Amino acid sequence: MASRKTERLINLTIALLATKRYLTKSEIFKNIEGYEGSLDSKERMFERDKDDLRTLGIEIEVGGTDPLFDDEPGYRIRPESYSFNIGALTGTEIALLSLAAEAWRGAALDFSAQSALVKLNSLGIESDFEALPALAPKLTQESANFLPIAAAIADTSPVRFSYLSKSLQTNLRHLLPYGLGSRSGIWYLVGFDNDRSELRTFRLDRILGEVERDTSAPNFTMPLDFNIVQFLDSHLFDPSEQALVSIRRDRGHALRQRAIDTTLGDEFDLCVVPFSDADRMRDLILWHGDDVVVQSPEYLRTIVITALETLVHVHG
Amino acid sequence: MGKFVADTGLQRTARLLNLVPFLSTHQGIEISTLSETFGVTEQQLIADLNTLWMCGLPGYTPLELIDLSFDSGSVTIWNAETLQNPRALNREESLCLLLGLGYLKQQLGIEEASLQASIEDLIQKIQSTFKSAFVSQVFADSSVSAGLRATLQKSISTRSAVAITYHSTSRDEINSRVVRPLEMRVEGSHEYLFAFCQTAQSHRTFRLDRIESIAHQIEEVESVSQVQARETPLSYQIEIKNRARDVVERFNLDPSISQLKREIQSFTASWLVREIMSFGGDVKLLAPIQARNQLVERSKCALEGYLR
Repeated sequence: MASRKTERLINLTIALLATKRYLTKSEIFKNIEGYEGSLDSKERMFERDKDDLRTLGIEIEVGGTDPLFDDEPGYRIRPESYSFNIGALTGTEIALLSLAAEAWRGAALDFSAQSALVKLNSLGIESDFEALPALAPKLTQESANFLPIAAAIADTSPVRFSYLSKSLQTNLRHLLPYGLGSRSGIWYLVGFDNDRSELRTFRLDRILGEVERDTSAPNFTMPLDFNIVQFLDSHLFDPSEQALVSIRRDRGHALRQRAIDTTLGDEFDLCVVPFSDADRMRDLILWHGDDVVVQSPEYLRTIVITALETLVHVHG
Repeated sequence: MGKFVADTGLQRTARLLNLVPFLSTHQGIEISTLSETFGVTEQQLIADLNTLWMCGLPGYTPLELIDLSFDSGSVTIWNAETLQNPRALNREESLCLLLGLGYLKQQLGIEEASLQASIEDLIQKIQSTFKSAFVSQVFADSSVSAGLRATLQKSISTRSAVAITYHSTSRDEINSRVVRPLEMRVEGSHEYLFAFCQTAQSHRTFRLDRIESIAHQIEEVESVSQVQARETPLSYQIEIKNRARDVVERFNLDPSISQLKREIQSFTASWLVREIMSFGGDVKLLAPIQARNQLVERSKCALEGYLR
């Protein structure tokens, strides 16, 4: 963008912020530097400038200038809506906010993290990091789709995207995006799948290409009771079942870490391990070979035995 | 709240509007520090300052224009009262802070109750500028402790050693090592520590979420001159029979190739055999034959556990 346009936008912002009353278009064209040419081109310039300032998040208030003659609208920016104001902040709070922004350095929100830090540092409040324990937070989300999805959720706007299916096919999906959350570094998009008429979960790293707004569908209403943390807990990571497994001494650490009860034995210890998905549990048990034996539930024992027999059969 | 900023040309206007309040609270700041803070080159920053100099209140005489001095290399600003308050957080910045705060809250121990309360309070304050209940819809976590990362950062900057217990999943072992951390990096969705392992006398890479505990090591680390050369990986032929996406993700293969017979690389045969076993027959190991025999043996051994 040319410097002249930047200059004009800054001058417009300053004038609309400084004024105590609404400025009419003719006052703006007459007094603010940069509006040149025919009235028509000035009008077009001003319309674009208003849009640009709104895109930057600056709210321009439109109102009448004269209570008796309200034929010409006037414009102003309220300092209250323009300025950073989330109440008085202490040095400790500034330190917490700075750490929160730092977590995004180098990740998907890097640019916004930097501008948020600039704003925090402009408040003139000394940050008090001494009050915090030594923490170096880091969020590793780098997907270019992260912001577009978060924006679509905030705008309750339907989206569409290509998704990698279980058999590596690419499917076009239509979704009302409800929430975005991560577990163990993996990000999940949860929403109402219009094609399947139910809530579905998608992994961000399985989305191919860009997530786009689905302009053919109307905006949706966010269900009031939707909570991403609760959803992920109850649908993906609900350890509703428990397996009783024998684990060889000094082996099976991945399972031991999850165990809620361990009875020590000679060669094998007996552990109670909660799990949410039987197939994933079977995979984990198979990985450990003869170091882990399922005792119960019976169906888990059966699928493990079947899989071992298949392995022998396929490779024999 | 405005739209998410997409037009990068407008970013310059946004930067200039942020520059004024920052300068107002950092009078006399060096141009080099300033350009670093704003993530632009010094040249770009000077162009920004030259543009700002032309701006001010209608009238545009020296009385109304923003006054700047930056010839000496340090920047001072006057007559910019109208713009001197920092701008309200835009939606991206709010999102960034909200997610960061929520994540920070999980990272604090229960003994930090007052900090937890401060975070909750800040979340409420930022949240109140959103129309919708954004916090219940977007949520970030990490499998790596922020305290662990801080200890590693400190150890890298002070060139000191740490004692770690590490869960080596490929060997199904938990062991203690003394390492000298050199660098941390992110690959895919995981973070890694590259370090010189004193115990193994060679450079090693550790996944941060598998470091179970960490402590500063007081003793001096001996300098070691010889570094073990990296072994070359062996290649294995597999055939995908089912669950192609899981297989592709586990072995880091290119998902755009539809071929079912693939070649994969691995440094350790035992790890590879375990990984293939965990697919329960959905992946077939074609070659080499030794690894294939090992797989059949292990499967038979495991089956015996169910016959007892």
